Amino acid sequence: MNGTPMDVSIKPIIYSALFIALISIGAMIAVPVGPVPIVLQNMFVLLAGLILPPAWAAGCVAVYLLMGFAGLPVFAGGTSGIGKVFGPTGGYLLSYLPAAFLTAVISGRAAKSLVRDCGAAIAGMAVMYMFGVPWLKWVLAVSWGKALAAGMYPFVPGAVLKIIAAVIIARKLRPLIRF
Amino acid sequence: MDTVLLKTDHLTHAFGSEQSGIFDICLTIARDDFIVLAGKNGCGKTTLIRHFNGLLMPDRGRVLLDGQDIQKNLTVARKKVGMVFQDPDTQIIADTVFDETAFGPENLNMGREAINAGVINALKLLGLYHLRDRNPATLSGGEKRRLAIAGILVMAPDLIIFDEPFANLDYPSIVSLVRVCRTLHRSGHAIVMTTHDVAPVIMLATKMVVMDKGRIKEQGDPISLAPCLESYGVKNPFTPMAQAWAL
Amino acid sequence: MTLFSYHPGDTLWHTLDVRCKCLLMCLLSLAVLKTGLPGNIICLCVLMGILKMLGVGPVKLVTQLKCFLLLLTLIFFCRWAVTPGHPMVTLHGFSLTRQGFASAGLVSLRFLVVMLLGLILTVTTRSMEIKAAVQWFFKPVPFIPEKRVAVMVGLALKFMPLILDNAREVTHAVNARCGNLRKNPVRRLVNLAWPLLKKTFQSADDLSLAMQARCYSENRTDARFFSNGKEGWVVGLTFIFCAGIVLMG
Ligand SMILES: Nc1ncnc2c1ncn2[C@@H]1O[C@H](COP(=O)(O)OP(=O)(O)O)[C@@H](O)[C@H]1O
Ligand SMILES: [Mg+2]
Repeated sequence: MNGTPMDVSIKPIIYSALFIALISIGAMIAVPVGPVPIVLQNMFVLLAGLILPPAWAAGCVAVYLLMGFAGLPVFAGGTSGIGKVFGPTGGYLLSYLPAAFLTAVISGRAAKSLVRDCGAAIAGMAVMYMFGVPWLKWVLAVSWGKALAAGMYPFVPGAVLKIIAAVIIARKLRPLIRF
Repeated sequence: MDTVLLKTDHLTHAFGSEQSGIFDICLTIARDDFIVLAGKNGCGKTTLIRHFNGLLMPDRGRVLLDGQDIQKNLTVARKKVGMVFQDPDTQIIADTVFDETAFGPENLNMGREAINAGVINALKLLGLYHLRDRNPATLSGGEKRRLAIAGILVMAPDLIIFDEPFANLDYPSIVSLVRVCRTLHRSGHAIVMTTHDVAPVIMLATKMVVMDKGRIKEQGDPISLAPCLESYGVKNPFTPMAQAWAL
Repeated sequence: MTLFSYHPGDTLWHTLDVRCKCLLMCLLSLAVLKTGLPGNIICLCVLMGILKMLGVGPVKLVTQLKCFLLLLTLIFFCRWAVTPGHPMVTLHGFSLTRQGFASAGLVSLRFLVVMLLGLILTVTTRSMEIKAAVQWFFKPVPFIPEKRVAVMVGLALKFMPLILDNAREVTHAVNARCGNLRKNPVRRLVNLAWPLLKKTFQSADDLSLAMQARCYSENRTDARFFSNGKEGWVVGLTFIFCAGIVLMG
C-alpha cells in the first residue's frame, strides 16, 4: 500500500544487514543451554535462509564473509582475515553461503508449510557439515574418524536443537516482516 | 512568497479497524510557525507527522507542500521536511558524527566540497564540531538528539518536525534542546513538535494543536488553550506540580 | 572486542591510503602462507614491532587474545599428535614426533601472523574507511552492486552493538522471571532468541523509516580517500620483504 519506489529496495538491505550483524554476533556469544554452551552463528545462517529470499540470503552471507576477509573482526572470537579460510574452520565459514541459499530455495517464497521449513533447515545444516568436515580433515591432516569426532559428533545435539529453534523462531518472526 | 508552507486536506489514514489512525485532519502550517502538537499517547501524533514527508501515504486526502502534492516528488519533500524521530538510537546510520551528518547530502549526490562545508557548518551550529570523529553510539542522550538535528539541518529543510523530543532527556538537556529549537525558529525554519508535555515549549510556540482519538479537537493560541488541555489527557503546564499530583 | 577497534593516531600506518593497506594485507598473508618457519618468525617479529609502535605491547596482546591463543595451542597439539615421523616424546605408547612439532609450529605461527596482520589493519583504520575500500575494489566487478554492499556493511556494523545491548537486556529480563530454570533446551533457546529478534527487527523497521526520511538512495556521493604520499615506498619495501621471506623458504 505504501508503494514508493524506495520501500522496495531499502527493507531487504536493512534486513540483510541485520542478519550479517546477527551472524557476526552469534559467533561471539555463547548461550548456556544444556551441558555444553552453544554458539548461535549457524542458527542465524539458517534463519537468514528461512526468512530472506534466496538471492538476499546468499548475498548477506557473502557480504559477511567479505567483511571478515577484508579485516573486520566478525569471525569467531573477533578474528578476521583471508587466512581464516585456510584454517580448520574455513570449510564451515564457506559452507554458510550454499547453506543459506539452499535453505532459502527449499523454504520457498509463498506457502510456508512446517514440513518444508524443517526440510530446508535440515538441508542447510547438512550442507554445513558436508563442507566443514572434509575441510577440517584436509587442514589438520587427520583420518575421517578423527575429523568426524572433532568436527561433527559433539555438535549433533546442538545442531538438532538449533534446527528446531530456527524453524520455531522463523515462523514466529515472519508475520512481523514486510518487505 | 506564499506564507503557507504545508497544508493537509481532509487527511485520513486508518489502521485496520476504524478505531486507530487519523481521521479528517485539516491543518495549515505557515513558514514562520512553531506548532505544538499535543495529545496523549496513542492519539495519532506520530501517524500524522509521518504523512508530512511521505513515510506514510494517506487513505484519503492530500498533503500539499508549497502547493504541490508531496507524492509527486518524494525526494524534494523529504529534503524540505526534516524529521527528528522519537528514539535517537534507531535513527543513527553512520559510525562517526561527521559521516552521520553527511548521510543526507550524500544521498542527494551533492559534491564532496559542498557536503564538507555544510556538515562543518551544521556541527558548529549545534556545538558538536569537537565530537566529529566520535562514534555516535558513545554520545549522551542530549548530544544524540542534537546530532539528529544536525543531520537534517545540512539538507536545509524548510520545516523541521520533532517527535517527542523531550522523552528520556534530563533537565539540562531539555533546556539546551529548547534553546536549539528557539534558534532554529528564529533563523527561519518552521517547526512542528509533538509532545505530551507542553511545558518546555509553550512560551515559544505560535500555535497549539490538540489531538484526541485521531482527530484535531482544538487549535489556536497556546496560552489560551492551556486550560482545556487536561480534558484531553495532557497536563496543563500552568498547574503547579504539587497541585497536579495531590490526590 | 576492545583490542579490535580503531585506536586514533597519526602514524604512517594510520595515514596510509586504505586501499593500499588492504592490498598490503593480502600480499603479506599470501607471502606468509608460502614461506617456512624462519620467514614466519621474522614476520612475527616485524609485526610485533609495528604493534608496539601503535601502542599495543606484547602484554596487552596476550591478555586480550587469551581465547585465540588457547585455540592456537589446541591446533598445535592436534597437529603435533597426528603427524607421523621420528618419535620425540612418548606417553602411554602415544608418540609425539619431531616432524609433527615442526609442522604444527609452522601452522600455528602462520595463524598468529595472519591474525596480527588483521589486528594492525583494524587498529589503524576506521571501519568506514574499510567499507569505502570494499566499495572501491568492487566497482570494476560486474554484477556486484558495490554501493549497496557498502551500505549493508555500514549498517551491519551499526547493528552489532545494538544487538549486544538488546541481548544483555533480554537475558536479564528472562532470568529475572526465572526463565533460566526451564529444563527444555529448545524452549530456553527460543525464549532468549525470540524477544531479542523481535526487538531487533523493530529497531530495523525504525531505522528504515529514518533512512527514507533522509532521502536514502543508492546513487550516493562517492567516499573519499586520504593518502600520505608514501604509498609507493611502502608497497615497494613490502614487495622486497615478501620476496625475501618467500625465497628464504
Ligand atoms: N503500523 C501500525 N499498525 C497498526 N496500528 C498502528 C500502527 N502504527 C500506529 N498504530 C496505532 O495508531 C494509533 C496512533 O499511534 P501513534 O501515532 O503512534 O500515537 P502517538 O504518537 O500519538 O502516541 C495507536 O493506537 C497505534 O496503536
Ligand atoms: Mg508517538
